Amino acid sequence: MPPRIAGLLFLALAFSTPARADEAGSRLAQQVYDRPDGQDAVSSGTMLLAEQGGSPRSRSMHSFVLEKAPGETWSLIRFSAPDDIAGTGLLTQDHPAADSDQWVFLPALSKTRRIPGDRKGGNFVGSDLYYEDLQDRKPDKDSHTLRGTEKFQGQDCQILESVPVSADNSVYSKRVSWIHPQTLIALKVELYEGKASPAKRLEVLKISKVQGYWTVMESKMTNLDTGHSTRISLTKIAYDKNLPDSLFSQQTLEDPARDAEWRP
Amino acid sequence: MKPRLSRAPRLAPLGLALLAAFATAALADTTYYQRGEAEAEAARRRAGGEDARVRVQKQTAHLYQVQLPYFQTRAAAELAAHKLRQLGAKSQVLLPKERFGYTLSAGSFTKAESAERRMAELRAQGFANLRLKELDGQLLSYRVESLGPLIAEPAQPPAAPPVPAPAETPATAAESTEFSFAETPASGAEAQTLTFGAAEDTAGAGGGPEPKAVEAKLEDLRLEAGLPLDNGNAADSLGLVRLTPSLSLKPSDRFSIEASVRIDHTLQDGAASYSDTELDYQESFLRWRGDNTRFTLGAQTVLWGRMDDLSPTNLYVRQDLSRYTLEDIADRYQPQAAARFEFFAGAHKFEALALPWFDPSKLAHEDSIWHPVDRLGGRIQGTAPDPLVAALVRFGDFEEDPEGEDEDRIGGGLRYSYAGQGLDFGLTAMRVQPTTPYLRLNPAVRDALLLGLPPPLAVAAGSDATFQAVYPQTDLVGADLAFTALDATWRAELVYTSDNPVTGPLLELDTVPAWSWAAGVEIYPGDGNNRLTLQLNGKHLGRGDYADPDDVYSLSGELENGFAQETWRLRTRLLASTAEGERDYYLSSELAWLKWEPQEFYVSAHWFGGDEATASGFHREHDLLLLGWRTQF
Repeated sequence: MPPRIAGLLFLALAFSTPARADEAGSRLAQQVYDRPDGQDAVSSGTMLLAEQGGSPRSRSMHSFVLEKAPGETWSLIRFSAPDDIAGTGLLTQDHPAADSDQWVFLPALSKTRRIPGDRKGGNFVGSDLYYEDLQDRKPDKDSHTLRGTEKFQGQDCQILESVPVSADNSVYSKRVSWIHPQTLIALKVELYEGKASPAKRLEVLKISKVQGYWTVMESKMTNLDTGHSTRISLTKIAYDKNLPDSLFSQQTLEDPARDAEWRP
Repeated sequence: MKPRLSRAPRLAPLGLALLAAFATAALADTTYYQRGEAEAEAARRRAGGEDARVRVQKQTAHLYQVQLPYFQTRAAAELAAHKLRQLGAKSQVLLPKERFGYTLSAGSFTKAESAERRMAELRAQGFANLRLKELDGQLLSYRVESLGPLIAEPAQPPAAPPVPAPAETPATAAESTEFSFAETPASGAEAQTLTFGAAEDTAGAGGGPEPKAVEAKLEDLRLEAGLPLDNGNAADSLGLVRLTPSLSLKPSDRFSIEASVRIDHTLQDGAASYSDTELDYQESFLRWRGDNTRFTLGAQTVLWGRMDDLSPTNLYVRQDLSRYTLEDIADRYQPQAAARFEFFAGAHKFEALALPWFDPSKLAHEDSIWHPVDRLGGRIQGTAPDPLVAALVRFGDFEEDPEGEDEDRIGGGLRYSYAGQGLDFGLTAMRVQPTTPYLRLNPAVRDALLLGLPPPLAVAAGSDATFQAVYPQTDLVGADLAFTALDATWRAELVYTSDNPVTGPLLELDTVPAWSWAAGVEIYPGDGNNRLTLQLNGKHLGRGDYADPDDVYSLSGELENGFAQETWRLRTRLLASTAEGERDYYLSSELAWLKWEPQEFYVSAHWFGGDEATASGFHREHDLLLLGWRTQF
């Protein structure tokens, strides 16, 4: 399963999947993308939105991810806090050779609405993550170059530079990732938006081996222009629960009680 | 019990393999396509004193895929795939559509004979359009590796592999050991947790509050003050206090109970002053869940219409019109008494709805500036100024509640909807009453006017109210769809209604058929934090000689901008319509500060304009500035 599955987020996903300009870079990107992370996963976590001088805001959620087939990933995110978005659900079905389908359930209206599944920009629920950061990014969408090795947080990391093959397939003009070779997780990613200096930085703060899968348990995305940051903490996760297809259906999306039994 | 298709001993659960609904055999003696089987084998070996672990392998394999081609519609293909899944086969619609129609997969096999066996099984089930296609696909497999004799307490744990492999032993999240990188691990030990920088221990805090069996909440607490912007307004100030307490009970996974009410205290000060407190029911129901079904009995909001705003299908839904257009959509649509049955079959959904009694939309207090009748001015919202009507309004009275058969009718309907890859659509058939009132002139008053009596005397001729709200029952047939294209979501509805109230040349009430449609788009301009919705509506009455316009068109939309990390939100709404040369518009803009979630502080301005014969033209002296605070607990 592509790294997308990794619990709360799915975060690690996009950032740990850079993938071609030189053979070594492409190979490393493919290895990162192919890092085992289970057939499915359920997780609970929190996003803490912080700005300098202000009190943080938080979002809590449960997430469910199932890899139906290579390139076909289904996911469900159910928000549980704050109160004004509690119960809101986001169902996504990524298809290998077609656009993604995405629906949002709005409890206030008791209604499900189809929304564009390939939205890239825009802050996800007010966080420093773009919608693109939550999506599975296949290695062939970027050209990859290995830029050498460097120590990061005491770890020897390989530096991988990834540039979109087509400028319109990403919000970012470039990603530079510090790949931890033992776990194949990007411990730091600097994200560029057309300028010489990075616009955002993702730092992995804690990884754990859960059921044999290396998992990003805590990470932080910082907007380097504003100082605003989002800390993502994964507090519970379980892999390979044999999640049923029905968990990723309209029926479950419209009825939060149905996914409650699968929460970790 | 339905017959099921055969499974090979080591069957891949299809999530594991590309398009592989059914694989037939393991690649080797120690390789499995199902993780559980591999783990079981590893456990069996460990129990026998041999250490073993499971490794995940990806490999390209030559596959034989059973396909069913030539489905002319996507819906038919999805339905057939659903049937196949019920038979135990992993089936899905293959995209893109082929030249001669849609094609399904019904299993992929590594051996041709297994695929042929599947085809024979499907033929026996009555499927004739079968073919076998060879392709290369990627398979995930699980290899059980022996690591030698099992040692109870290994002195030297194995070093971390260069590429992490799946679990050596299955464990739950709670069993994963922790280790901080600041504390150097014992030599040779494999780290299970790596911590960088200032990671925080947030264990147990994730996911927010746990679901409770009994939960009391205050869904909405709101304080609002309004300042009319026009000097000629009948009100100098407006106020609203709203409380919406709720109680949720979950006696079991199958049952849940919701109970909620809304308390509105409204104030109006000025030439027309009043204060009023109203209690109204909100979502209050008993819900039962089956495996593929859901039954809900009680007050609930059921929106079968596809459009967000001005949905032609949703004419049966009770609305809160007590402040004309000020309420947003979530507060405008109100629950109503209903029994609803839902049946789910994959991407398909069938619903039945019964509306056992009729409850019309909620109108404003009769002294409110938002009431659709201006008694002082002698005007009725949405009608052209007329001396006769003005006299009748001034001298007469109004009955807004449904009476007689309008009150007793039972309504309901059926709906089928599909939400699948690339397209959502729905078909609706109902017999319902519109919840917005149509004012009928009392027939006795009308007869008196036709005899030549002046309005004051004609009004006295009627024993009942001069104007009576009517809600004639109508048949409704509708179709709707939604899809995404060009980075936008497109939605549309088409509805036929058999009985729409109109006023004839002699002021008599009649009903005529009508077609209504709506088409809308939702986009995110600049691919950022701005969301724009635009919608066009049309309604076309059947030909006839009556006072109502034959064709009405409207344009509505909303632009929502979130900025400063969505701690601020600017929301602008537009509603404009035209009918036989008469035009009106409503424009509002709200700026909200959201930093102290879930509290919202907001200021909004509302402008109304247009010809007198139009709805917003009726309120053109009611431009308003609102200050408000809302939250929930």
